[in-house]
Amino acid sequence: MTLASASNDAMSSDPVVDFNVYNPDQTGIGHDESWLALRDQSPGIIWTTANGGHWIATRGDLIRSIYADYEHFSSRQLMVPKQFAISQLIPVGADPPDHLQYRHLVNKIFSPAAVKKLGVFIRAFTRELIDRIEPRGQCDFWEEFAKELPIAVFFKLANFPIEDREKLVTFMDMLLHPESLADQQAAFAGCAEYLAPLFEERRKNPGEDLLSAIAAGEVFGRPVTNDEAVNMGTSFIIGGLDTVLSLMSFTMNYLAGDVALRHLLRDEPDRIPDAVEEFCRRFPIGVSTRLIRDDYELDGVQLKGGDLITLPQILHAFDPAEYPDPLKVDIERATGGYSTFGHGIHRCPGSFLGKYELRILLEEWLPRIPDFEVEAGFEVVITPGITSAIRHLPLRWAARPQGN
Amino acid sequence: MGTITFISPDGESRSIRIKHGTSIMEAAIAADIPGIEAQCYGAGVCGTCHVFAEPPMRSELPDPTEWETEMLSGVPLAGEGSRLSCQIPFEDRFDGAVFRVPERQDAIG
Repeated sequence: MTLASASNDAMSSDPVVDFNVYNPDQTGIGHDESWLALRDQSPGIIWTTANGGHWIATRGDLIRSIYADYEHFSSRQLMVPKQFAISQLIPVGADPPDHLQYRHLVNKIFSPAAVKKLGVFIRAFTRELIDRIEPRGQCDFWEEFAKELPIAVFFKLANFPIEDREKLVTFMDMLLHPESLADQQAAFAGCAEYLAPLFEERRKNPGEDLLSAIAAGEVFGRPVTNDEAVNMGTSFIIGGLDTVLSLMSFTMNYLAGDVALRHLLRDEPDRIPDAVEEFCRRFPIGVSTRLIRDDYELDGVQLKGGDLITLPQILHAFDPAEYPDPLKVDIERATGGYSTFGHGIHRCPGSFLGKYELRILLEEWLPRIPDFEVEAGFEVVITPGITSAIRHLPLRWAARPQGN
Repeated sequence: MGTITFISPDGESRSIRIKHGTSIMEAAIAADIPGIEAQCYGAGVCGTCHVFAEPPMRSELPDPTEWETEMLSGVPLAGEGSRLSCQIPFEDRFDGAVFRVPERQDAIG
């Protein structure tokens, strides 16, 4: 990542970098450090030549305001570079007024009241997973916990058959982390082929689940079409499968190294919601993209209509103007307003669900396994991307015989 | 950090602590305040976190955006002081604010 002199007229005096938002640490200085280094080069809006060339917002207030500003920034294009096909997805990639029609179909499914009803299932399954691993004194948190719980919960909510798990995880990976355009297109086709008969079935036998809500939905005064239903189902496969896993993996990796906080949360579980908010702030996982609609000047930078701008949630979390000493996990701090779930009309419909799952995990795990650490000598690696994660997290604790 | 109070339709009032930056809606949901559904949990697209901001703090709150005003035009029972509680991040100067919860919430759309 180096500062180069601007070569494009549109960028005249603005700094230009070669920074890959999906793989920020090119020099081995570390994930967080790479983002901080980028921000220090331009606390505002900067142009990168990577991924086909696009803008990056690097300050918290800008990231928040662009998320919320659908009038100047469209969601039609959801990743860089432009040729990648995550576009025209509904509702996440739809703009007003159409967006509202589709979003209404699913709000109720993810509402706090609906999620709290799922709480019994989430807690029971969490306990079952802990029962399985606790006596062993070790687990790979990603494989044996993170991949199990959020996916089971999402499958329950959508009423997907759990045996289709691997298939959907593969689609999701190919959509979000495509090696090639062909890969991504194949995954879209795969999702469509998988979802179409499920929607047909839900129309005949509707339930209380996400797919039924979409299948039975009305938009613009008419029933949802098959194409729309498949498109929406695909959106939720993308948004629902690996986000909570990532949040959990970052949280447990952090807690493995903070004995004081682990014991505080074990002894005073009513502090867990504050901790969940702080983990959501400190460990955001996504880099969102917006399409600049028309030429627009923002923060002294002339943005060109048709260009893309990315919004790294982590740079909002790391903005000291909003969060003093931002890398520090501090459950006392005022955490509100972070960008981990976006802002405005596209704000993540699953945010309450994700936080609720993390809360239950901590409530159940910490009394039973209050002391754990990352396997000695293991180097934790953050896998970057449109969503980042810790995909291998071997945890160790003192095993105790079952039943004690 | 400050305190806000919710008054339910039957007149019962409950005061809760809230941190700077947390929305009035998030604090209400965390405290299980009855009558606030917040189906979209903060996107401002469902209209089911409707509250009435009471004086004197009503006039101190940031004005609703164009979007919020438009959404409020579609919520049932809207009237003086109507706000979507998800659109109001708490600031310390709002300490003591009082919000009345409407008798019902219906999702827009």
